Amino acid sequence: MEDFFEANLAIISRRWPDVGQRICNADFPDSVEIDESGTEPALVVNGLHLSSIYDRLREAELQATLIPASSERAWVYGLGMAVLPRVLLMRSVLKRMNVVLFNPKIAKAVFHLIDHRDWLNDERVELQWHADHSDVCFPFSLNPPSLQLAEVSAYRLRDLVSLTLATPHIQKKHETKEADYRKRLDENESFIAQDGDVKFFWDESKKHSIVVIGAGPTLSQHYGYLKAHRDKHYLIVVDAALKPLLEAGIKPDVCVTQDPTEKGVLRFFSGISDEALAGVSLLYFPLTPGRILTDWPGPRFVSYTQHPRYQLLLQKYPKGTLFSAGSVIHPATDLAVKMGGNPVILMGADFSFPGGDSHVLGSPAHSTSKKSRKFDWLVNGYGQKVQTIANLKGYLRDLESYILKNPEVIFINSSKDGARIEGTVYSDEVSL
Amino acid sequence: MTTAEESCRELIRRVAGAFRLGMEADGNAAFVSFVDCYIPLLDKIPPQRAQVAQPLLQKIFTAQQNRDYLYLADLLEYGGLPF
Repeated sequence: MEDFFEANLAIISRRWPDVGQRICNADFPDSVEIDESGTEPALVVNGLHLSSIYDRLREAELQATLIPASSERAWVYGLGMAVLPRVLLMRSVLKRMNVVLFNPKIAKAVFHLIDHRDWLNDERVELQWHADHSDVCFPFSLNPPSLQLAEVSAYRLRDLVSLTLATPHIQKKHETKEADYRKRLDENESFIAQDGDVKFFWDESKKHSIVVIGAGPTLSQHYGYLKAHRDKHYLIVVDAALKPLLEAGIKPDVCVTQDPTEKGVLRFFSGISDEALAGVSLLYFPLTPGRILTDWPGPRFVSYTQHPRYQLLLQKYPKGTLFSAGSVIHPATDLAVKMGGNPVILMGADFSFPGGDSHVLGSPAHSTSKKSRKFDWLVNGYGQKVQTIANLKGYLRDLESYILKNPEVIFINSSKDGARIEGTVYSDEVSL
Repeated sequence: MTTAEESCRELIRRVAGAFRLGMEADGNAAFVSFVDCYIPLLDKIPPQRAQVAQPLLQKIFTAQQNRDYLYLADLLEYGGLPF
């Protein structure tokens, strides 16, 4: 088989010397095969086909539809077998195209096995590393397996691209539930009218360190610290961590609940005695199941999110709003920030399955994961890969975006076993 | 073509399209609908033809399990699933 590496590299090194250097220094992927079982051969890298084995041009033409035909700019995430860049370069209207590489090993294999000189020589092309991109650029298209094969340092950009693509699906799912949500809002209106405003907490102006307690498996690592230093911190716990925290003998100041599904959320509260909850406030959202509100023995406070469905209620019963992006850890963290917490200490915010556990032991949501290729990966505080799933990746990236928008606040991640959260420092790097 | 068959073919287009565009959540949701639609159809296919489906379905499920989505899209669109 002909080797095109030197010919391809000559162009890359001339036009983008840093890219050329990185590819030169890279090893080959663990596994590279050619699948010739279809009508067109395709590279299979680490078990993933980089293109169709039947009609890769049609496939790339479909991918190219993500970029409007009139666009003068295009970003292509992932190289694949470079069919998509070629398809886009056929557009005379296109003036500039950035092809973003996610893994030097894959690039090395692809540049060895395929002649890319035609499109690499096109003046409109800019070849870049993922590291040059801190956020998603629009309009973009992609070679999906190239993102799945991303190197560890490209995980954040990979997830931001995936999150962008998944957003319409997530919105569609919520739209199907909108009628039920309207009914719930009607049922909860009297609570919303009477209960306290989340702004009560902001007025408290605690101005001290606030701990946001998530239900990740690493929460149990901190029980000893929390017991010993309970008076030093204000504790905000998410609903899924309430039971295990109380069982560990630690009483939080406020519990935040957001999940509107009864099946998902009632279990977090069932069986807890009124005595155990004495003095604990509940912060909820307008879609919280009514049974949680009627059963809660202590003070209740309500918050809105930015969602347009709350606009009418907000006008009728003006109260504060918290940041929300799918996980209860988001409003819990925003509450800590709005209360003036600095630092904000995150415990049990793992966004992953360290040790194979989904949640902290004792949480009704706890389960043990089985090893499966269906898992995604994130990087933990030690730089090692840790199992996760798609929605947790999305929650993590949304929290990171929130953190980056609040640079005046120090966010402390208390465990290195869970996913690394960009914008946080680790507790062993600061004094609590 | 029966309505059920039309639905299955439409779902195949949706699954394959979503996976080729990197829309994993959409693709997986449509894949579940496809399986729910196609499996009952197997009972209505002559046994000889239905037998062809078994190894192909096995490959399809393996590709989905391995998240080898472009290959999965190919198997669905070009693999020759019997109807």
